[in-house]
Amino acid sequence: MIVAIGLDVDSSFGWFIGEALRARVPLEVVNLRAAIEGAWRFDVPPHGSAMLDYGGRTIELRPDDSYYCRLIDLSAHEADVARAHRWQAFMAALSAWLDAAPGLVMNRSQAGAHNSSKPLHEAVLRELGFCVPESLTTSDARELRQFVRAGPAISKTVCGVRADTVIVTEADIDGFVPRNGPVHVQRLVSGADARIHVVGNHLVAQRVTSEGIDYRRTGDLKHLEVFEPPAVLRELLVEGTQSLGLAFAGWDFKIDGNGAYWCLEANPMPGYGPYDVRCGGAISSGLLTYLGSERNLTGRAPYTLSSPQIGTVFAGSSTKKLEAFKPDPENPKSILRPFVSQSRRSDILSNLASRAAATPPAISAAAIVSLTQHIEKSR
Amino acid sequence: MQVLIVAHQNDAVAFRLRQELECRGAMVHYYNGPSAARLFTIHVGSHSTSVAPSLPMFVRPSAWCQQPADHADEQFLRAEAYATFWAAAALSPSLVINRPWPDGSVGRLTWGKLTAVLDSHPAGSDSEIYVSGREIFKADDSTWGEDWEFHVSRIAQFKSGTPLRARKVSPGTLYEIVTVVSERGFPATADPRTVEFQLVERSVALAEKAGVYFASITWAVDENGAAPVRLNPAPQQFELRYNWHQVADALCEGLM
Repeated sequence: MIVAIGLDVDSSFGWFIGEALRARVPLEVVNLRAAIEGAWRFDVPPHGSAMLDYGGRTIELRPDDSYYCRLIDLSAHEADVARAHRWQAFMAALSAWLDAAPGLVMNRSQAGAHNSSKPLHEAVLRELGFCVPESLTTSDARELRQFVRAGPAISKTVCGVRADTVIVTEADIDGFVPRNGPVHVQRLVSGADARIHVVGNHLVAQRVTSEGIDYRRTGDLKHLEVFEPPAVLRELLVEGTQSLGLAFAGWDFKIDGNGAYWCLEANPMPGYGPYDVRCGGAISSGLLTYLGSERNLTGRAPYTLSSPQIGTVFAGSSTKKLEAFKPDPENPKSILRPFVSQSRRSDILSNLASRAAATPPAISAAAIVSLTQHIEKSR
Repeated sequence: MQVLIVAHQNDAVAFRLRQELECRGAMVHYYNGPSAARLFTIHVGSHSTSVAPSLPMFVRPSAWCQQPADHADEQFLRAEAYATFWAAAALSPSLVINRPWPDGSVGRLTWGKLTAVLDSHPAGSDSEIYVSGREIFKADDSTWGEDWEFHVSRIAQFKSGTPLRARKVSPGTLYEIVTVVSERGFPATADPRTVEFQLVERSVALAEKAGVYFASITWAVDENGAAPVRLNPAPQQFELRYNWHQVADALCEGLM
């Protein structure tokens, strides 16, 4: 049995369920925000099934089932402390159980977590053999200025919160003080964009040429076309996805004028709906095939508590900066840097929490699909 | 010698370690998490990664305990600082106690996770049970639980509807705490069963498997032997009070 676990107000979750229903694939669904209202029991390590009871239904989760997960914790957006604790308790229990379950879990809770720390993520990607654009993460205006002066650069969030990617100029650094930081800047790579979804050893590659810095913001998603990446890259992607402990990942690349592929990120929980719709559902089809294949039910994806330490590291030894540094007061009122202002950020969790607050939980698969379609239409 | 301590100003263990380091002649820089994050510059190039400054670090989770953010921008900036510090500590070539890994920091591990992840208990051992409330399962007096504010009690004493973790505890179980610093372990007691059951060696092996340099490991000891019930990678004063001087010596030796 395939079990889909996620939030009924998350469009990507609804998309997966809708495609499974369309393909008539038997599916159990768990709506996280309904489940936290009910009763649960998880035995860790799993000895027999876990049990959920909510919305008038009792759901058994078997350790050797296949799980498609979009585990999103809304506890930080709960005003009620008891409910926030309930969220945390449920998510801790579910994650511990899934991490120990022998079945296929797409994806386990901490796999690819470094995507939430861009400099670390980039270092990992480089160690896996990908070309990554040069980057700098710092609160030092002088270092920032040097980097920007050396060539075109863009600004991204360090923690991975979605925000418009913008070009950074020296003028943006005028008046910058450490309390504006830290800042992550990356060398601009001009060229086409590619998104490659990897499911096991199955790939769906799409690319688009856009005049803008971020094709998702310029309406160019509709111009995505399926293409065949080079064999060397295909191999690297399949191996890289496995090395990160992922069964499913969405990889982003820039393809420069020389045909070189520059890896921007590997997303461990890709919102793949907008890409799937432009490749005839090939990504969903790959997911459902992989999750349903018997060979995957027999083996457990290797779980490691921690990845090996990153290999080659060269470090500066200067501590002069440290001695001159003035720490923030205990509760600083930090100054937001101009190029990642709130208007340029998209706080996905806040948006999901707002939608959840405005809508009663959907229980059945059909109701979840209907709710997410309604949300998409009203956006 | 310079050492960076990253902890909340009221962290008693970090504060005492600072004193120990200074007594030994180290120059100690002590910052909370966001301030520490702003010290670092991380450069990812096509062939190498650099982290500056490169200093031995002692890191405590308390470093990130702050007043709730009163604005989305403030919350965002804290997340940016955390992400930066995570990378700096993970990539630093200097000793970091405890180093976060690419998939995150090692948190507190209890019976179930110790069994599932570290394979620390014999096959067929009981599970740890995570439930939405005590009413979910029939428990007897030998079942104890812990709620999400770390209150520990017999299951019957929790209010219905309080999420908790629970497991069976044999009557008469005794506990030993072994504090691990790298390859050394320091037991809290001089009980002969600590040697008989090789709790120091087993603790060192468990900490290594978990990927932590510094941790306290609590063992349940009964007539059947000894089993680890908790690995705490951020030991508190009460866990260290039995052998603080030995632990402090080992930590200072590593950091200096």
